[in-house]
Amino acid sequence: MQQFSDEELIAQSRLRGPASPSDPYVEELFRRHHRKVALWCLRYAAGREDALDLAQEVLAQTFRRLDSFQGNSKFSTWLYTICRNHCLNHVKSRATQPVTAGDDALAFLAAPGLGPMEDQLARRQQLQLARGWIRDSLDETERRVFVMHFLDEMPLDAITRALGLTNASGAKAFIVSARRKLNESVRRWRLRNEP
Amino acid sequence: MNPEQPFRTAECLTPEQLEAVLEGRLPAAHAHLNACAACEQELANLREFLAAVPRPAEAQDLAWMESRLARPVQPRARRSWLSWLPTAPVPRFAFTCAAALLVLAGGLQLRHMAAPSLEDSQSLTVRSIQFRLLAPAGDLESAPPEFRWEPVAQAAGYEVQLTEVDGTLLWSARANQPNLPAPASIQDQLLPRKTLLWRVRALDDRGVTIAESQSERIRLLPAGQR
Repeated sequence: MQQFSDEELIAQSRLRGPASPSDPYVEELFRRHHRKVALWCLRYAAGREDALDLAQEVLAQTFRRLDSFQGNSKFSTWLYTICRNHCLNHVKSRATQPVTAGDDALAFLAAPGLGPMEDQLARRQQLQLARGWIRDSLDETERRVFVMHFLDEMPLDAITRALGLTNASGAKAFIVSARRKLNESVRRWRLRNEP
Repeated sequence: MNPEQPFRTAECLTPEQLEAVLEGRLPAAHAHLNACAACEQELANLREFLAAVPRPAEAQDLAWMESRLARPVQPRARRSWLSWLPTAPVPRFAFTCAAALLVLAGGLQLRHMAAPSLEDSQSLTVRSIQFRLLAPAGDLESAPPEFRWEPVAQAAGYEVQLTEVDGTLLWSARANQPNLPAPASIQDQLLPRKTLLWRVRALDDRGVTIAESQSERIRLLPAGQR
């Protein structure tokens, strides 16, 4: 069994008919990967019991979809997308506080007083600028927190757990510092470009 | 979500492309990765998922979880995968009751069962019969204005589903005829190079599936290839 790649295990399993939980090839496939799923769920759940439920849901969902795996990527990458999406939905469904909408990430562009800049630039140019500021102003952790909060709409406490942040205020501190740096980038840009 | 925002660009990488980057098969993507915080984050996520290296504080909980996810060593006490399928725990006695009811119902059915009648074919289920999707299909130069498929004779309606390649449902809608306009929100989901799947189920007047299509892959070509 060890000689087979994940994709070969799936192919072998398909030769035996519809995927079955007791199929040794399926068993081997999930045995190889349940640690990945468990660890990911541990980072996205509130506690280990919650994480165990989440991991079982992900594995069951993966099993149910196994027939639709088309081999466009490796099985592990496919499993990642299922796990990621499931955990994100779980985290968002449990959020008690509404998260900031994605468009608020542009608040630094649309903030009062920036009218002249909006007048000067086409929207695409604004977006390119914003991407440049995110890339150049923020460190890697700030970028990750920023993307997880504003793009994936994850609550800050969930980001803190997922990234294993150990500072006192967790992800919030990185959002605050990211905003401060982005505001500073905007201010410097205005000094250079506005009359 | 609007794809044109600081985190998402039309060139953002698919999971397959991120995998290729990790394996050194797509050096051309590094320029985009250097400029795109979203793809940088996604790549970091994928790398961490595949590595599965616990932080010190996670090791104990991970071991606890693994001990419960793994099958027991003793063959006679092996835990079936079937036990993972229900999302909520089901009391053991419920299975016992269900089994007893099945046996009882089966016995009653056997007592009254006659030879199968040919009349049953009037309510035939043609789920095994598949019909073809007509458009869109394959690589597209622009977002499709509508979805079209072959009509199914006994269908009272159709359900169209658009999904990610991993099966995540993005959109679902019903139609009374074998075509359906693609709403603007769906056209926004079609990012260049991102493969999506769509399929159709034919329904009878009770909403029961009577036939279903294969999934069709669609992908919007990047601007330079149109």
